[in-house]
Amino acid sequence: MNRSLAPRDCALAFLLTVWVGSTHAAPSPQWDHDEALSSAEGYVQLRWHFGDVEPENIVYELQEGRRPVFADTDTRYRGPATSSFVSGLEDGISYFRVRASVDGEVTWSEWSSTVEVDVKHHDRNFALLLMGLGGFVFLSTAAFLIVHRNDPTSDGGTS
Amino acid sequence: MNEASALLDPTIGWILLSVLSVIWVGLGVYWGRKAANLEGFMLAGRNVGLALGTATAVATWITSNTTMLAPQFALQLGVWGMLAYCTASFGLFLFAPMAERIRALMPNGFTSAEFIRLRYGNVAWGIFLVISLFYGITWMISMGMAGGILMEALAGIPYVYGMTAILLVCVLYTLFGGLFAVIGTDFIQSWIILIGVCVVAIAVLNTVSIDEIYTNLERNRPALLDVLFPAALMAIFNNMLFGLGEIFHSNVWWSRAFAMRKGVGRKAYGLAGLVWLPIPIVAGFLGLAAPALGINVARPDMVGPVVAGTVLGEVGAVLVFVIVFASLASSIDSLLAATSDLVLNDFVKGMIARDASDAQLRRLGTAVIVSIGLVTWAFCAPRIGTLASVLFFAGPLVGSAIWPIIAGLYWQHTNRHGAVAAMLLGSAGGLVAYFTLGWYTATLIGTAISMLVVVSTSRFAPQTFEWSRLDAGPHGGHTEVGR
Repeated sequence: MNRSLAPRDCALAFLLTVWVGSTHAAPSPQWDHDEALSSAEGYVQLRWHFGDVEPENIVYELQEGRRPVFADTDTRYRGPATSSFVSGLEDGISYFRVRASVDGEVTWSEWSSTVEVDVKHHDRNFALLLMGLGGFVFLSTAAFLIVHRNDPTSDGGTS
Repeated sequence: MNEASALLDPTIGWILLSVLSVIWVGLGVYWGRKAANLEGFMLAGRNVGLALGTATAVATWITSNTTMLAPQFALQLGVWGMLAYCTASFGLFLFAPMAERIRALMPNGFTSAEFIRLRYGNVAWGIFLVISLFYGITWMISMGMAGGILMEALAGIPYVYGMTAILLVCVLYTLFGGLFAVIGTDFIQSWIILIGVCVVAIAVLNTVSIDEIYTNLERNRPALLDVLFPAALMAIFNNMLFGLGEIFHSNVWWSRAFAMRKGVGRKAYGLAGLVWLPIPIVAGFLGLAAPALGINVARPDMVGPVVAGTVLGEVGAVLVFVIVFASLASSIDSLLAATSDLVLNDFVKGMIARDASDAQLRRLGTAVIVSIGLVTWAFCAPRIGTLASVLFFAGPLVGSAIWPIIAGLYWQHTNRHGAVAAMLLGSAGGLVAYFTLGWYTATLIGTAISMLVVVSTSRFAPQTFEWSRLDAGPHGGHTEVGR
């Protein structure tokens, strides 16, 4: 249903909004962690809550965007959980926000504040260097055991 | 799925917990009849054959980490994470020839610490005991905590009850049956785990195709498919070396090497590696399939059970409960038996009760097992979350023991001071890497430093060792009493 509001209704709605805003916290989910997160592995654990006592039939919607205005948005999750583990993120900043519904997804709360996840993976060359070192140590160990696997126990091999 | 909601009704959870507990304790009592003397109790009469030997190695190496952490690794580090986890099987492959040599050099040996003391002296023995007991106890605490947390998450059983139940069951059947019961139950548990994991994986494949999984990952989680994922590249060999360090140093594996019949160790450990290798791949696949199944992963360590519960419903949840119980029990009992052997052989028998009779030592062994169980329970009960993560500190410590052990087993001229320095410097260097670079580099750095120290000191300052000293009597040189 779509109907236009009379000027008096608009004024009342404005006053109500100002009053609610001045006496209560914004009616939206709150993050349980900082709004600026960073990761060198491309994964992050998001946690949120909605009020002190969570309604039984609450549904959350978690959105991810590659821009702060959420122009290109993916809904990552819709359901009752109050946390989500997000992995596989590439270099760059990802943005997350969440909102809640307590009436079967008919009306929704305001969006939460935006969490910015700054992903900067380890330097690839450094990672390859460590992988090479790991390969050398492992192959040395394996080669050692293979070479000596049949050594006699009376006077085994030497260095 | 809500983070707080359980997959199973608590009543079903309690019934499953009770039935499984009665079965394992009953089997412990049954197998306990075979343990007529101390050697039978600690080393199953040194007569374990190929089938049981293989099964016990497989089941022990399938911990709750394999069924829980492998999917988490895949979810965090992608395809490489999954493959990195399965490289832990190389520890079993490479221990295969070592098992035979250990048995040949120390036909009357009991523990890994005994080898270090005879080979390198008391200083190295002390350092090694600290490493080994730290690893054993923290692993057991992490398993006990994981048991409580998983029972609560899967079936709503309060943490303390679930944790207490699983520790009590393992203490009881280890107490009654010793290594006989541990190996026997491991055989059954390994089959339960193998079949259960395969059933869940097949159910997932019937729900979502490989193509769908790939397309979803490519679109929503591209880094998980990146073959040059930096953290995953670093994790591959780190994880492999962690696995090598765990197996090479731990008395869990040495006690099995002593317990197996002559000629069995090499085949049993090789076969166990082959059987174990696909398990993390199958379990890890569940982690990669989660996004395509539209599952919200509230906690990464629960991705495996949540996927099974989503795909198979209540049947899947029951299956996961049984798999988790089996994988926890098969590891806790082995750790309990091996750690108590270490304490009994190296402390009690070697330093306190040298003249104790076989029967007295058996009673002392009982007291040691109960004490270790109580200490573990006391650490687990407060549910301090950070305690479980302490296990990861053990990575560089066990990594630093790899080269002192293999060089000690095969080189006659390994420098014993070099072995001591290798364990100390490797542990220190690895811990620095843990805090400065990340957990996925710590074992690698620790092992590399240790290898360098052992090889260089043995090359430039060799010391001669007579192999016959490793077979220095029934009690490895400590005492002549007992067997």
